[in-house]
Amino acid sequence: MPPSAIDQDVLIDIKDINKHFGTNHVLKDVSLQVHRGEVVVVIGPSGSGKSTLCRCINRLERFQSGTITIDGKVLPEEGRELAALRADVGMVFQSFNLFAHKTILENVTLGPTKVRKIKTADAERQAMALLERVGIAAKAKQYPAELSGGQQQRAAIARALAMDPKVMLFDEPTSALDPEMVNEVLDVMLELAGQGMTMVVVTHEMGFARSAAHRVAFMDAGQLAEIATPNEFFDNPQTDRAKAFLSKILTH
Amino acid sequence: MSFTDWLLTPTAIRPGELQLVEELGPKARRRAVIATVVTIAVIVGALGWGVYRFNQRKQFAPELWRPFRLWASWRFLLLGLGNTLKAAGLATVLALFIGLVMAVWRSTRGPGRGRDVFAGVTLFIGLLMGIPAWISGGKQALSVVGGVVIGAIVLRQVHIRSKRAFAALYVEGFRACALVLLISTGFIFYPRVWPDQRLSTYAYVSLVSGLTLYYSTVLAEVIRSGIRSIPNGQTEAALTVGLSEGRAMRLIVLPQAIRRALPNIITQVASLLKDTSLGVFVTYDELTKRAQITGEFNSNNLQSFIVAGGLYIALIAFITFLANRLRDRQTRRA
Repeated sequence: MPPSAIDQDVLIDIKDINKHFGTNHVLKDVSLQVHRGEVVVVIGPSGSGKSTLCRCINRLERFQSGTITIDGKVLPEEGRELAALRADVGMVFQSFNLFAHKTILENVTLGPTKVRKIKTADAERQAMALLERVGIAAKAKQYPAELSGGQQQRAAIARALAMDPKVMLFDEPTSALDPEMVNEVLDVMLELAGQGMTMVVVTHEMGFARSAAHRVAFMDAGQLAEIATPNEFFDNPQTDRAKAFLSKILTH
Repeated sequence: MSFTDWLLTPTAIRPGELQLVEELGPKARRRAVIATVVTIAVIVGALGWGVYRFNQRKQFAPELWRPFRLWASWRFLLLGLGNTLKAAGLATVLALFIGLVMAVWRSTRGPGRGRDVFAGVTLFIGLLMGIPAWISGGKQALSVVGGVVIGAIVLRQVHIRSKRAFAALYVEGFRACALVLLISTGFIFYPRVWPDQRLSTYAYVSLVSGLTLYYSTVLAEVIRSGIRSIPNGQTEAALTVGLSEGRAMRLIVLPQAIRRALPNIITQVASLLKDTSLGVFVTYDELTKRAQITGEFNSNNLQSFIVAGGLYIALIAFITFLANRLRDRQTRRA
């Protein structure tokens, strides 16, 4: 599937952010712009800071300096403004994090009813449509523990989509899945990308990066080492660090 | 099936339970049978000896048990049991509420805005002072309760740091106090703050407040350990759909935490119920007190206490039964 057209206006503008965990400097002057409708895939070795970067975008992680602007608004520090912003930024986690005491349907309708104040009946109709779209409508009345990993992750995507987000963040969405379930999740993500959703995807799935990304961002040791189109990056990496990384993962 | 087979057949493992010992080999089987038989023999022997001595001292004499063939004796004790439940009920509700608030406060991360602390303190003092007044029907009661609520709302606007510190202080402080001391102190304290009430009112209020203070700290810790057992991802997911931290706690974390803490909560509530017998120290008219009275009246202290003990056991068994049903209904989830 060819990547869909992207707008020129910048939806996420990350400028020079720095993040320390104690003495550990995990993000070093990272800057990245994501355009509306663009899919940016962030790759890099473990501990390179790619997940942290992703989590900074909706302030699940605090950072010490730099700014992040989303759709023209500077990321709020706290309180209602921050909650409102998070409602507009969908997030999918490595470990799914579905609400364990709620059914799949309740998981999906919680945000719309509690945050967007949509009527339960309307929210449920919309949720069923989303569950249909990710292929697990039959599981709506079940609890997360009764679903397979792949089904749970698709439910988590539906939960994020139910908020009608401006952008979707994926933090290693397939890393906790059994191999045979990876594709069912990637298929859903590919479809989303094809429909023009703005996405930031942290992943180890190079196939997905190649087929769905407009640009690939390569992170290493807390720095954004290289950013390029998938073809340029995979076929002709510019930095030694990217070359070393690719030689390690592409040998098999 | 032979006796030894029956003896050594492990009870069925229910889902979620661990099998802690592997199946026994031949030697271990023989040892287990001998140990079991010896243990049973010792227990039966001890019991038999007790009953023998009991009988020898004429404790089974019909006149000692006769009072319990009269409805009046049972009525007397059951009314006491009713008062036990009255104190335990209110104390349980208050202790659960305060415990929940303290657990949440103590679980909040980061410096945060501690404006709720003052509100909490005011409300807490309000509960301590206002509710006794309310119960006793004092005329100032409504104005005091109203004042406290307004004060709490105003104080919510005050920004200071860390409700954590307050909750920690509260929990560590009152948990370390002897329960009898808390109850007795109240009994001396309240008449000075709210004079001219009936003695029974002071007894009830001091018992309930003592139990509330102590058990709210215990329940706070039980609930807090439940909160800590919920993975952080649940909160993060709640935040990312746009819930505030408070609502993430209330809607997502607490329901799961309380479910996990439920067995411990029930244990503590049962324990609270039994500790109402400490009301004896402040003349509160409950089951133990009444067993004492029946015993003295009929000169059968021992028998009265045995009957009262049976009533406590029956009540706790009933609570445990309800709790188990609740648990079974919820095992399906998570």
